[in-house]
Amino acid sequence: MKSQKIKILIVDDDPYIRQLVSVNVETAGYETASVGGGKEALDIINKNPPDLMILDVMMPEMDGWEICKIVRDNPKFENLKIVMLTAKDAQRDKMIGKHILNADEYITKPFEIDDLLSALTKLLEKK
Amino acid sequence: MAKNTELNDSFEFPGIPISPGIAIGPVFCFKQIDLEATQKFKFPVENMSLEMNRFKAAIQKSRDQLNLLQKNVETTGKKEVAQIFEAQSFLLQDDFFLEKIKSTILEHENNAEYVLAHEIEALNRTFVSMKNEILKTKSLDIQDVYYRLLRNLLEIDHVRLSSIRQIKEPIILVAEKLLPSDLTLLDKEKLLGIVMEEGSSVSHVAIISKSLGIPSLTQVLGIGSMARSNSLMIVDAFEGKAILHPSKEQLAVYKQKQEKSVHPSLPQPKRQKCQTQDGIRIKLEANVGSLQDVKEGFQNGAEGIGLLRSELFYMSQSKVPSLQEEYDFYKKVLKMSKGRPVTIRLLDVGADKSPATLNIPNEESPQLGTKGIRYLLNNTDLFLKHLRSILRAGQISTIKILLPFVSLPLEVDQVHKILNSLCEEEGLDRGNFKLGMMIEIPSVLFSLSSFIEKIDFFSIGTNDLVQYLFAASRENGKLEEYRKASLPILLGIIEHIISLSAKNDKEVTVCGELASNPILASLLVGAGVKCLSVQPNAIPLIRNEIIGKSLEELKSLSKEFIHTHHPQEILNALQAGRNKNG
Repeated sequence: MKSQKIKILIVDDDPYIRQLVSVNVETAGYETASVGGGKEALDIINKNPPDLMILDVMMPEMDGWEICKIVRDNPKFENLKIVMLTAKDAQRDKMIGKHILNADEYITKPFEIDDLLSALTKLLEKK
Repeated sequence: MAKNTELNDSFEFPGIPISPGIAIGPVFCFKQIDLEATQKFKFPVENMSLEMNRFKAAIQKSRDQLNLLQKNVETTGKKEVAQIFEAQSFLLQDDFFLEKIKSTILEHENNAEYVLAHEIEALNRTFVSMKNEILKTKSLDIQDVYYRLLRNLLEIDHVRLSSIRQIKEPIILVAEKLLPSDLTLLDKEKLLGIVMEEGSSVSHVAIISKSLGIPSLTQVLGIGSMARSNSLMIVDAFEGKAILHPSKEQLAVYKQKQEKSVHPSLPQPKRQKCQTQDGIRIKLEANVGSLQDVKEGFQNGAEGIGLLRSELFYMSQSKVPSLQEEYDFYKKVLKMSKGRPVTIRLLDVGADKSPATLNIPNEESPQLGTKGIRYLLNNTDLFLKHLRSILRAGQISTIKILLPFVSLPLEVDQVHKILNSLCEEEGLDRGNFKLGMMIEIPSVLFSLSSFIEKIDFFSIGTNDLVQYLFAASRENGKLEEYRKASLPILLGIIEHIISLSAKNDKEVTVCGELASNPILASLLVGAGVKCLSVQPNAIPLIRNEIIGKSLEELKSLSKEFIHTHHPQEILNALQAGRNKNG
């Protein structure tokens, strides 16, 4: 990620979702990178922190909740925005994501791409 | 506290040492998962049967986790710590509490997290409003268990480990508050030190910190908001301070101190006697509450057990121990002591320090209430059983009996009568049992000569003596300055006690936390103290401090300290001298 564009990291073990999101997010003018798991995500975040991360909750080995906590516990990444994606019980997961683990936004699958893009615009305008 | 406001400037924070030592390393800021949202968000329950099953599954998972935790801790030999988690496991078997949650879920058709979170909040309010320090610290155990239950309901308990797992190098753990199970998340090898903003020095967290032998501080106000992960910190759990962003000079000084201080877990090269450079013997004994403490004390060269806190044994049991169970415990202690002297303090319990099993009622001012010997004399059955177990154990090897919280000579007279009667019943020679008393209540200081005839030895409990003399609660970290300022007066009082006792050939031991500080211990020796009873891991440090000086030198320092109006300056100078001479 070498340009001045806003950098967004997409973390989802579903390659279809990664492709769908990255194509639409790039069309909206952002620069993206995609990974399929938490360990790769943390590698990228530590070496070259993005401005925002779209983070799936349900992933094998390391789930989105864990990645969210790791990022939120590290003051180096206090400006990194997190948007969580989940297909689980919406109300409970929204409480966990937004109010317990302090993600910035929470979107339930299946989602409308426009809703995702609106959330990105809203969060990144505050930068 | 902070001398300037630049983020990377050196900041010094005072605190209360829990476990002595020096640590230097990067900070890791531990953050609890904030579950407050569970009180605010209420979700309708569509399927009550599924919700109940979810609740039961979370209870079972929590119990399994605690059982595993207890077993893992037991394999490290830390039985006292394992018992903390065993007791936590019992909380999850409290049918009354769990049934209350279940019936509230059914009645209001609210989700389990919401109901549980409100019950926890109600419990916390009950404990926090109490003045009893032991009950307040018990609330931390309850929080620990029920937060585990909440995390399991939300299926995010595994998240707690996530940040910790990222730690590759040893760190100093900094937190606003720690719960007992938090300290089990990290391998001991990665833990250089522990610094907390909140927490009593008698809490279970404190017990675990001490058992780990890791330099630890509590009541370090402001550290939670100032420290950042990866910042460098020095933890001085001798003097009671944490230094954030230390300067190069401070680092150099503390690295030298660290090299000079003997690590408690290292074996002592030989059982070096503790004597001053001019040949005056100073007896070093250990303060203990468990078999692990006894083991550690003797490993570190203790010449005896100067204070066995029998109430800690009671507090570690899930029911009031029987005479046989109590006898078995003392028997084990005596066998480990191999003929070295053992002083057992009778149960020092009361409303401010009470094993749950004794059901001691709350009192208005528990620290001034029915505690220590007053409690025992008011509860004869328990007293007789307790004393009988000690007397029977005394047939294995010599035991000295120490009376807690004595304020009147009459109390000692009453104990003599009971002791004489029990020895006669048991067919024991009364002369085999020396009887001593704690000096911790100021009234004793004004009537010392009345007590001298009645007892064989004194033990000065500096923690409570300072508290009662200077009206400064030992648990209140904000009064640390008062306690420090009181030291010259206290030392003068101790000098007087020693002088009078010596004339009457009575031994005096100092067993309070003061004695576990090397510099203060050497001042005590200068004031005439010949026997110190300290935390096991402080023994090598005290020995090193004393053998480096002559008694004449210590007398002179002590005299200067007693008459000073600026005790901190003298302490700083002594500390600087230690650093220079090594």
